[in-house]
Amino acid sequence: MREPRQITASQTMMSIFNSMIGISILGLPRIASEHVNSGAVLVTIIGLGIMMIGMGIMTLLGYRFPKTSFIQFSKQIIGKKLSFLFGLFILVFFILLIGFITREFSFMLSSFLYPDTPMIVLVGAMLIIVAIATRNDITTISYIHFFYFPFLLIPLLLLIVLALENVDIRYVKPFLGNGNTFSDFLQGGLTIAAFPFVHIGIFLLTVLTPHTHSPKNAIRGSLLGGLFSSLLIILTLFVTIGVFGSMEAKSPLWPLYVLTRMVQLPLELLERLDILFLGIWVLSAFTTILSGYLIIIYTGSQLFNLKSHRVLSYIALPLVFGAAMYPQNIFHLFELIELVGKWGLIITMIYPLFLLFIALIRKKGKVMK
Amino acid sequence: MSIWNRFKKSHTSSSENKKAETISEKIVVNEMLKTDYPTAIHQIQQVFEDEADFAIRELVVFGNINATIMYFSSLVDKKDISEDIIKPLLINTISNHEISLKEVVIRQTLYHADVQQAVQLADIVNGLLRGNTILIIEGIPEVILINTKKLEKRSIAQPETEQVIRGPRDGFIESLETNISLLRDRIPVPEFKVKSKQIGRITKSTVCIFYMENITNPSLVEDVEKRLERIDIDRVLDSGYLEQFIQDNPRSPFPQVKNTERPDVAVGNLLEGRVVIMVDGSPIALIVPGTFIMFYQSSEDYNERTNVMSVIRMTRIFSIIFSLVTPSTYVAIISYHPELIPTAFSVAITSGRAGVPFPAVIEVFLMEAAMEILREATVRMPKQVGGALSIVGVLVVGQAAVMAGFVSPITVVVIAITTIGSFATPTYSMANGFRMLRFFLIFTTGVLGLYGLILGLILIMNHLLSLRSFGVPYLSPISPMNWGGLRDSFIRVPLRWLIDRPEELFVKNSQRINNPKEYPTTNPLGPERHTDMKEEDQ
Repeated sequence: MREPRQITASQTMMSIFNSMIGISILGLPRIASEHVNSGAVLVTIIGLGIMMIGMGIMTLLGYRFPKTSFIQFSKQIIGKKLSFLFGLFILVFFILLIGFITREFSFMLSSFLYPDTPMIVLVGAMLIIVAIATRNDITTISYIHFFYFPFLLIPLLLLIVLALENVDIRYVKPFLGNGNTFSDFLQGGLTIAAFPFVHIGIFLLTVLTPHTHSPKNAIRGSLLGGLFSSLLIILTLFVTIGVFGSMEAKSPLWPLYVLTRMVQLPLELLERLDILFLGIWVLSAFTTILSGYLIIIYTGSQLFNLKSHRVLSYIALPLVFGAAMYPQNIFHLFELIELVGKWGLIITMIYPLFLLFIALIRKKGKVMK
Repeated sequence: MSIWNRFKKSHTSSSENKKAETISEKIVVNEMLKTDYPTAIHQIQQVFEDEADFAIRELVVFGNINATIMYFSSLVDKKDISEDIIKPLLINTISNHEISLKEVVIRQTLYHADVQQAVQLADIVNGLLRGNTILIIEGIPEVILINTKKLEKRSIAQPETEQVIRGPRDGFIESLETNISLLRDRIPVPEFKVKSKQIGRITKSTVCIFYMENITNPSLVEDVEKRLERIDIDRVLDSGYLEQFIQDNPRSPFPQVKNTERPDVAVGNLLEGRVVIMVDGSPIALIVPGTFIMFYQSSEDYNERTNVMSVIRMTRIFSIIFSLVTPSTYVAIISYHPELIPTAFSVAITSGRAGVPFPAVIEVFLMEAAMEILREATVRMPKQVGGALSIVGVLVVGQAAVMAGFVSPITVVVIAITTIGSFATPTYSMANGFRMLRFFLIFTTGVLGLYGLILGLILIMNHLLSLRSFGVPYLSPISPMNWGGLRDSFIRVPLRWLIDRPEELFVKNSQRINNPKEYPTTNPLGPERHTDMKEEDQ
């Protein structure tokens, strides 16, 4: 009856928030403290700073080429063949990445709650739900993100508030860590910038921006989303390190999950909060994987000139599923995530930067004021 | 070859038979009634050869002119015919020979208000079948149709499905004309539009579309008309038939068209910019587009105090979520995560379940099924048997099953709470949708525990979020959010603050209240007034 609505700034912001708050932040304190012990907060800030740069590049590109998708304008900038090749790289990269984070999530479920349930079922159930959700148009998917936003934000804030009383500020000091060199921080920062949620957060912009109400909305939404989720990630990290200390945060695979086990509600209603939080983690994993899956099928549909991303909803399923089932065990998986994530920096940071430069040189797209 | 021929032959002959079968096809579409008086009468008689209730009365009017009256005795008011048609025709004589006979009959003689003329046979037949009396007079080529329809109808009563404590007591009935009068009486402005059309090849039911010309978005009206236009079915026996044809997603368990029996609800929605559809023969009006939150609003919410009604609205929403999730959460806790609840409670549950032979999923599923059977049985039962049934239900399903060790007492409590919770929905169709989804959630939880429950809920939520009714997102004003709309969703703010009509409907005139700030608290009997009066006295 009416023209399809378009995505607003707040919906963009919430979509980015939901995509970034995912299963990866459960393991973030471990990886950050592995690199620079008590300098974990600082190294995360560096990593997220790198992410914000990446987001800025993507936003500038989106502003220069409003209402065109990433694949379309890269075709305009560097030609058909080269952009197709890079598009293929993006596709393969995200298929691997989404498969791996689905697997990581399933590992977590399986190690805490479902030791006897086969991995295929845990992975498959999540991927099927995600695939069904991507049958909707982009605007509806942004509604979905919008709706789930408070369900992720409020429990996370609650967790921070509840854990705050156990924080020992001595654990977080010294901010620079003990005996760290500059290159340690750079290394750590790059590792954090190579986290799956960073890639998904940045690349989600390529899906949302062509559908936003105006390029201004996209800029405002993406910057706010990036800043807000960075703030929350840093806060949760601070709380986790503050409670455990950097030495202890290294040992569990998902320190934040252990934290949810420790916190208790003031009143004796539920014995353990972690299972309740599990619901939240399932939701956060769903929103993250949904965004990632959307990136895959949207990029795919643009790359192969399909009418709509919906066509690929079920076709991409076996590919992602295959990627998810590939790692042999959890350590293999973590290795792969780090490896793929670091290579992915080329795709999500350097490639857009390269595009932006070429576009500036060749004076393609809308010229900025 | 011969088989082929036979097939061909039988095919053609059967189609010929079919053609001969229906009377309406015998009447050629544009066949005119013969002008010759006896032939014309014969022509009509032929159509209704053996009808038991088809009546013919021959008269001689104005002294010397032959005339015939025909009607279906089952459809007409005979008193009307004798008083308003036959009596004047017989008593009057022609005094003025200047004007033609037809004019004399129509303008000077007949007392009845609703008089029409027809020349085509199809129109005449149709008119007869709709309760008209036809008058054929020798020398007048046209046939005069007089609407003498009289059908038995029940009186206006309080609707049984949407009862209110404070609010109007009248409800729609089966007669469309009465229903229109109920609406017109409440909206006495020319902008209130009623469009009518006939749907149903055989039942030819009259369907009316109501809207406010100065409020409703014209493209919504257009879309409703377009969707109704497409319907090609032999019958429309209730507005539910239409609902199923015009809704956006027929597979969804959620109703996308609101229905009501209450004229005040219909008027309220008309004034918000929605479109109301009614069918002759059904007391239930359809309101489109329907959004989720509409099904949790009752007309009483606007008549009572706001804060109290807001709490009640939240109770309704809470109870539906509660009744949807409780059984599956119980299953998840008992069979997958018993460590979630405090130890003392968990011991109590386990001891209660000690003798139960089934896993929790089966137990809950069986109890839910028993509850549904009980409920379905009580709905269809005659009232006299209903009491006995409920006793059997309570005693056998509740008490005896626990005593026999089939189910644990806590399961019974959970199911009972769930069932009561599902009754708190003001709309029956929405409650039904959630009833079904409860089983779905029990199933997913049975397979995957809490993970399955969350995934099931995500699936339901995603469906709700993607659902649209006539282009309006089903969950608006919650998602996409609009603050103005939220004032009348989970809560209901005072009417004087509900300034705008719902934003998602893109109405022509969004102003509901024109002077939102002009309700100052005055104190007519306060001290100031008294001093004024004293001064005046002096």
